[in-house]
Amino acid sequence: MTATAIPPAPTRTGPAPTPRRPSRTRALVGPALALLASVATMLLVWQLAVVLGDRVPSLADTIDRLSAEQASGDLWGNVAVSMNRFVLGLVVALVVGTALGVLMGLSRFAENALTDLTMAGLAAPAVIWALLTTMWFGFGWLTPVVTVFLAALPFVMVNIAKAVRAVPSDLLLVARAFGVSRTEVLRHVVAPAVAGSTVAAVRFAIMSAWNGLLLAEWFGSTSGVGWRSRYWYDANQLDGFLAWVLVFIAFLVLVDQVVLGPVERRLTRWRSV
Amino acid sequence: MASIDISGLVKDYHDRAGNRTRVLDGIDLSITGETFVSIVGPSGSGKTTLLNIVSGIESHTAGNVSLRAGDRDARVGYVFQDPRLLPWRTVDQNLSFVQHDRDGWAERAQHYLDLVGLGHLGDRFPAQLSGGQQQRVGIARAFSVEPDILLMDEPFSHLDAMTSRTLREHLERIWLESRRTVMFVTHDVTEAVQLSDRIVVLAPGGHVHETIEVDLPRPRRASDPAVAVLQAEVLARFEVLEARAAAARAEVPA
Amino acid sequence: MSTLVAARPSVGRSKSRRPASAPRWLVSSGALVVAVLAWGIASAVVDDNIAPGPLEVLERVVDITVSGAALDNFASSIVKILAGFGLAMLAGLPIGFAMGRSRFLSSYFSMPLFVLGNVPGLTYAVFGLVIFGVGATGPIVVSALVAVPFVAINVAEGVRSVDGKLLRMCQAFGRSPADVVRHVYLPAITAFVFVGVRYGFAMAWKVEALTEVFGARDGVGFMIRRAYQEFQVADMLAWTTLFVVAMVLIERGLAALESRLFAWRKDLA
Repeated sequence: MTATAIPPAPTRTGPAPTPRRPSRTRALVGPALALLASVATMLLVWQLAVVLGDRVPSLADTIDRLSAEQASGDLWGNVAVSMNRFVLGLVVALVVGTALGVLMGLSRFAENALTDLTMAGLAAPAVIWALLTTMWFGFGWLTPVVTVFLAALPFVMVNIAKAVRAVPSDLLLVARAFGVSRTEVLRHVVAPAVAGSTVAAVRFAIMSAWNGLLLAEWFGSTSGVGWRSRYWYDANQLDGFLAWVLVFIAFLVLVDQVVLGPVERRLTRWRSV
Repeated sequence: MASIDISGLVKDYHDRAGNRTRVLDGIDLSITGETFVSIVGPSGSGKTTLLNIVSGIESHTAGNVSLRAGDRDARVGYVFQDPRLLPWRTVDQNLSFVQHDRDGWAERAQHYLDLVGLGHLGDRFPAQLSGGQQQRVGIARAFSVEPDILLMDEPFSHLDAMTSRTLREHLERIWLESRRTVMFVTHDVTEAVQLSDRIVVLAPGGHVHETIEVDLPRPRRASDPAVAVLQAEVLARFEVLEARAAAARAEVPA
Repeated sequence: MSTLVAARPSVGRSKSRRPASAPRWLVSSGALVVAVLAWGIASAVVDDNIAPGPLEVLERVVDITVSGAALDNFASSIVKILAGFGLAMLAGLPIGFAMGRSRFLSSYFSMPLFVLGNVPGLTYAVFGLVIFGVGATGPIVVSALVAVPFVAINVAEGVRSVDGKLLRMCQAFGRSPADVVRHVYLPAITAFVFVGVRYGFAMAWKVEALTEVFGARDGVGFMIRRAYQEFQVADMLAWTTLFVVAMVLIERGLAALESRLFAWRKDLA
């Protein structure tokens, strides 16, 4: 339901198609300057919120708290615990979701049978999975892992099915007519066609799964990043909570800009040429 | 009476490194009255640039361009290479969009749509029309503003041979019925011979190579022997020019 | 929450290349029946309060609907989202227009919009509660923050999609800037914004509901939270079912509206 039928964003990374002629230096300095100004503005807005809203902790306090968490070992300890759960749930969702998605892409029967259920899965908020698994499995490792799995699964299914449908049947016929080998077809026809939606599948799955993980650990766990942020919230120490929010955001930026972004740009280079 | 007067027209382009390329080098041209003038020339001779400068879409480096109708500025209609219709507006709304004069536009629009054979498709969106039909709408749009001067930039070059022949016949019929001063850019010599009263040949480097008067009775048919003879003759002259242009290009390293 | 992308109005290219088999509705409703049966069997096997069967949940759905509680709480949630979307439009339109016209501003806004669009819902919920308390303001502000990136990025895409050739056509026919905005820019942007709203809506509602889970006086999320605290799993599932059904219906309605409003688009014509 959310953002599934959409191609990967060319807007965030790709250059705007304005036909003006920037010099080479301006083309490099411009975005860097903009990013700098942007970060400065965000810090300024934060500072304003600190001054105006009396409950918002300052940046200095938050950083202090974060380094205290690091010094006490709580930072990396909880991150490691959460990463185990996250990766386990995500990998299972990717495997199961890919199998079901390929089925949906290839067979009309499977597509008809599974589309409505997938839609319902996309529409269900992750918090409901977090609450239900907490009731079902208690405060064990199953609660976050199952939530991660359920939150990611429909996104994988929908986007993999889309990827399979994107394989151009006419080009496959061309390849067959010219007697191109199977591996060559896989490499030059199938792979480029499915790349975009596959990256989208992974991206949406990660974002949704991360959200689910935090909620599951918040409601039904005694360890992990979600639990640790709740610990500070319950202690009414908002600087501690905010320190963990910085960790959440850092994780997402890392995944998006450092891992998925370059992969996506590489795979979809042919589109912008 | 409408007229286009061009004198000493110069156009330079500057690339990123600041190098100057001259695309039009002192064009003198005068078109007066209900004359259909074609501008032909090999690619790179500045045909489209000339038309864009006349229409005001592009600026020029030196010289004068004036478009007059009697003692006032001339009103201009433009037919582009591609249809350039607003995709989210119906055919009727597309014609309405360009009107200066709201009075009686609906009748005018209907009249010219009828002339191009699309009178019954006014409530269609462009996407629901074929390429040829879209281009006919473009022609009706240009005539519907009752222009003193009509500028056309290779309007049939994107269409298949059959469609463009039909559209040429449409165009000549409308023009005979509602005569304007026309400046028609094309790379197709046979098209120019069939439609024009005068053909201006531009040479690479951007100057007028020669001017050919076409004095044949209208309406003309491509199969008419007199038309065919003149087409062959002009084509032969044009081929010499193109060969010279190709040789010149080969001499100058890119 | 979910990753943020420009929702380019999709170019319909889904030509069916498989032969038709059993009718669609039969297969899909058959699959739903199978799923519900599986749920019923599982709940019978577990035989515990925490796993109510489908009949029990259906009973609760009917009760909630008949008593008017469903209407009240859904209305309350949707009013908050609409208010939030109103705010998001006010902020997103100028930001998106600026991004579409200037490369610098596009880079400038991309980072904050990415953060706004991708911050986990938990963060919004907690800050909504801490800063605005349990009133309606928290959910409204939260849904506005979630929706702004969707609106802004799609407005920017719409502005960028405006064809330079059409602008030159307007110039050749001597159209005024006001005409150009009204007949060229606005129609181009509306299609993109509509798609953005369609996708942003689901996102915003989920986060809004989450905010209500954390603290509210009414709304769907609040009802789910209350059922959770009272250990009424059947109630929780009943509210969730209603939520999912409402979401799917709204999504379908918006999609239908979209194809009516944008009949000029080639893929829909």
